[in-house]
Amino acid sequence: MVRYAAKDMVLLMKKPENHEPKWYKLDNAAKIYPVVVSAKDSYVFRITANMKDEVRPDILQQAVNDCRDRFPAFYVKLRRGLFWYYYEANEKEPLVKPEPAYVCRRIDLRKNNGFYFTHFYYKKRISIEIFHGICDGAGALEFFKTTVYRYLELLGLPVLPENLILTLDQKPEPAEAEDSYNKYYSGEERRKRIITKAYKPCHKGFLHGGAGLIVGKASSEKLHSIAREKGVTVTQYLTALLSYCYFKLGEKEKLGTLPVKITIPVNMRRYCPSTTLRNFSLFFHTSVLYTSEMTFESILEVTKKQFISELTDKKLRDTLNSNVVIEKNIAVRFLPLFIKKIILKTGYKYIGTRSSTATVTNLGNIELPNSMMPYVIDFELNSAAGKRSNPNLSLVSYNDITTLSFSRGILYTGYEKLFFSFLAKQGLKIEVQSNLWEDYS
Amino acid sequence: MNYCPECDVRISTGSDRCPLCHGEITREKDGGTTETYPRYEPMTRKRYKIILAVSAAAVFLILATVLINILTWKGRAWSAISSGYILYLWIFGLLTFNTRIHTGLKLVAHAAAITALLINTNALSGKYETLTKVSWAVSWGMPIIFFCFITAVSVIMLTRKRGRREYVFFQFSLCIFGLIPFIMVMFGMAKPVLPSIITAASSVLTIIAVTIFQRKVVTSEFKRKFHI
Repeated sequence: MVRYAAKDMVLLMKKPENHEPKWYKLDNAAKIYPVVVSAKDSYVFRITANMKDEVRPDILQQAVNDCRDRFPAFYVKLRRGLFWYYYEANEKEPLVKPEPAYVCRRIDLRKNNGFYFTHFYYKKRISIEIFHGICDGAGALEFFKTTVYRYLELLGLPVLPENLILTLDQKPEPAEAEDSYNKYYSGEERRKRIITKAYKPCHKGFLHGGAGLIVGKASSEKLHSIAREKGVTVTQYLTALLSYCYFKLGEKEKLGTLPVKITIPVNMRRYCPSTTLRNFSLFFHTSVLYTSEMTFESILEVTKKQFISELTDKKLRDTLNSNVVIEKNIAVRFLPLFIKKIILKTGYKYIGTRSSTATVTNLGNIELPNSMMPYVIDFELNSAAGKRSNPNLSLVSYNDITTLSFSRGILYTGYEKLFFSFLAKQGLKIEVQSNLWEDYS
Repeated sequence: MNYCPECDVRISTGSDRCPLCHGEITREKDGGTTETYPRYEPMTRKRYKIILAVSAAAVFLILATVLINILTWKGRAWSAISSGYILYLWIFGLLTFNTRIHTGLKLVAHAAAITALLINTNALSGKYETLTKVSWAVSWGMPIIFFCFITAVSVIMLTRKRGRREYVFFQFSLCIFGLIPFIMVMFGMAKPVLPSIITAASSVLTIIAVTIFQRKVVTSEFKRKFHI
C-alpha cells in the first residue's frame, strides 16, 4: 500500500492550471538525435542507482507519475513540424518496467506510451534509460535523483532534500526548460571545423546486437590520488589510459596514419551558468598519433595539454557559436524537415561517426542528501553501444565509489582487460561485474 | 566474491570465468557473487518476419502480373493497374500497421494514395485519347474519397477527448485537397459538377467551423507546425 503524507495528497489533487499542452522547440543539440536515431544507434543512456533494499515497482510507478508536474520537459512526445521536430506534453502514463537484458536499446515508442524515457527495476536496482534528444547526463541525473527521492519518500522513509534535490513542491522554473545554447549564442567568433578520420579497430560484433557491459568499481579517493600523482585530473588520466589501450592492442600500420581520437563531452553548465535540465553540453576530441617510442606517460602528457587547450571559456563559446549558427541560417530554417533529415542523416553517417575512436563520459560526483545516503549504495552510468562499436567508457562517482562502465558492441574484451589490469597495477582495488553478453553470441 | 589472478581484479558477477580475460578465477571463501544483470532472452522477431513475408509476397505478385501481361500482350499495360493496387496494399499496409506515424498523417497519405490509384486506373483502363481527361476519377472518385476522409477526421476530432488538437493540421490539409476536384471541374477537366461542389463546400465549412470553434487550438497548432 502506498502511503501518502498530507502534503502529498494536496500535490496529487492539484489539477494542472492550464489544459493547453505545453510544447518545446528542440534544443540545438537535440535537433540531430531524432534524425539520426536508428536500431543500430539508439542515442540512449542509462543511469542506475543500486539501492539498499529490493525495489518495489508499484511505489516506483507512483514516484514516476508524481514527478510529471515538476519535470514537464521530460514528459513529452515528439511531433513533426513542417520545418523542425518539436516536443509536446504527453498526457499518457509513463511506464515502469522490469529491467531488460538489452542495455540502452532504441526506445520502442509504441510500447512506451510515446515517452522518451523509461524507468526500470531489477532486484535492488532502479534505472532510467533516456533518449539524448530530451536531455544530457546532468539533466537526466536531476530528474533521476528526484524520482529516487520521491520513491524513498513514498516508502515512508525519513528523507529530506537538503537543497540537493529538486522537490515536487517547487514549481518548475522556465530556465529549467530553456535552450541554453541559444541563450549563450553571441554570433561573434566561430570555430572552424576540421573533421579528420579517427582510428577504428575492427572486431567481430555480437550476433544478436545489444551491448556488452563491463563495470569496474573502485575507491574515488584512491583513483584521485593516482591521477594527482601524475599531476592530472581523473578524466585526463582515464582518457589517456583508454588511448593507451587502443595503441597497445591496435593494428600498428593503421595507427601510424590514423590518430586515436577520444570524444570528451563537456558539461557547459560549468562554463556558462545555466539551470537547464535539457541538453547543454559540447564535446571535443583528444587526438594522439602513434609513434614507436610511445609510453603511457607520453600519451598522458599530450592528453593533458589537449584538455587544457580545449577547455577554455573562449574555445567552448566559439564551438557553441559555430553549432548554433547552422540552426540560425535562414536557408536551413526554411528547409522542409524531410530534406533536412536526408542531409543530416547522410552527413552524420559519413562524418559524425568516423571522427571518433571512443568516448569517455564523466558525469562527475553525485551528491545526495545525507538522509538519502543510507538507502542508495552506488550509481552507474551506461552509454549505448552501436553495432560493432568499440568500448566506450562512462564514469560516475558517489560516496567514495567510482563506477567505471564500459559498453561495447564487440565480442573482444581485451581493451577492458588491459584498462583494469593497468589500474590494478597502480594499486587500485577493483571489483568487476559484467552482463556476460559475449556468452550469448 | 571471486578473484582473477591474471587481471588482479575481484569479480562480483556469478560466473566461472573472468569477464575480462575469460580465464580461470579463484573462488574466495565468502564467495558472494550475484546475478548482477538480467539474463539474456532472445528477442522475438515475429514482426520482422511478417514484414519480410508481406514484402516478398508483394514483389512476387507484382513480378508475376507484369510477366503474365508481357506474355499475353494485347496492347494494354493492365499490369500497371494491378501492380499499383498491390504496391498500395504493401506500402500503405506497412505504413499503417508498422509505423508510429500520427493517424492523421496516415489518413492524409491514404487519401492521396487512393486518389492516385483511381487516376492511374482511370487513365490506363480508358482509351488512350482520354488520358488528358481522367473523368470519373476526378469527378466522382476524388470528391467521394476526400469527403469520406474529411468526415472520418471530423468524427475522430469530435469523439476524442485527448489529442483532438493533433488532428487540426491534417484536417486542414484534407480540406485543401478537397478543393482540388472542384478546381479541376472548373477548368473543364471533368464532369459532373455536383460531387465536387459538395466536397468543396464541406471542406470550406469544416475549415470555417474549426477556425471559429477551435480558434485558439488552430492558432497554437499552426504555430507549432510551422515554427522555424
